Amino acid sequence: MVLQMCRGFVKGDEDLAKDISQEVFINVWNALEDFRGEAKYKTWIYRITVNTCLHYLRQARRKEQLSMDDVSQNLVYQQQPLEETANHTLYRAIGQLSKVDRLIIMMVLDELEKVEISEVMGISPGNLRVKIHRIKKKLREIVRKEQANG
Amino acid sequence: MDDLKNMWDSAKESARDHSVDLSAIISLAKKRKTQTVNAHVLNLAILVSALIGISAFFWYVTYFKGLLGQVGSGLMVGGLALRIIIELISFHKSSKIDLSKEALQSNNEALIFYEFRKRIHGPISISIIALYTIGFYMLTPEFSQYFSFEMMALIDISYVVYLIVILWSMIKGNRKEIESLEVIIQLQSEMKEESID
Repeated sequence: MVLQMCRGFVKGDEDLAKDISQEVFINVWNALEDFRGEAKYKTWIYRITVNTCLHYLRQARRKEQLSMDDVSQNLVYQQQPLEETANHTLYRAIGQLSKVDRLIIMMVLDELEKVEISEVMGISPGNLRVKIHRIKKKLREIVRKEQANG
Repeated sequence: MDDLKNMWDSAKESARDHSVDLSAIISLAKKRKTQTVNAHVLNLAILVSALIGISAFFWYVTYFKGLLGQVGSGLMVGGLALRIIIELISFHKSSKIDLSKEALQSNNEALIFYEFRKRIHGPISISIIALYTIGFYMLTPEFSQYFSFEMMALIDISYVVYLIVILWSMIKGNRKEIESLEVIIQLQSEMKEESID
């Protein structure tokens, strides 16, 4: 779950995803002693994953690295076997969303309850419902455009 | 959407194949924690040593007789002490960022921290450097009674070089803080986007 979220966040860049997921596990370990069971373990780990991804963005150098994703992603996938092209489509579509939308839709795809996503993001359930509706609409448009472009 | 869900599930399967070396993660986490604390302690130790060194120098070696020299040394020591206090506050604020909280709240904590850092690297740092510089030049009339002209010129020039280096690193630091702040503000607005509904 962690690696997959990180992959989606960095548009399929495997090395960067592994770096961030390692960071997530470190943060989980460091926060473990403060875990009071107020949230479910799953929600708690999702929170750390989401926050670590966003925290990763805050660092300027890494931000530049992320903006290079489109270039590196194309280079990486040219060498991927055929079965990887499906993942390429998936990450490319998700990658066209904004960072926050990307994280929300990945939790939706991971079948998290709306209440849980709301607890992870700190957004009200009503607001989240509107957001998810808009993100799905955006995604459908992206996929349609992708298919039209071949 | 269903197609994407299927793609997501199959990609998730491949992610399951990656095992995590838990003991390596734990040792890395411990190492990282120690490194962070050590870096802050080292930074503070350097500043405190400089404060003690400079105070001892003013007190025991160059005990200033004139008011100008006394005020000048006070400004320099005061500027450095202020810098140490700010460093302590900064460390405290950075430790407040909790990654296990809701994303909006955690991002808000980061926002508070980076706004504080921006202020530090901006007007506060400039004020400290200004205090320090004024203090330094207030000492020079009394210094010049004991040092040759050449020595005084060397001291003044080396201070200017030191000032340039400090200002350059401050501008660089400020630019980084502003970049981080922009990212946080952008994320905050993305998260709050529909809150007005």
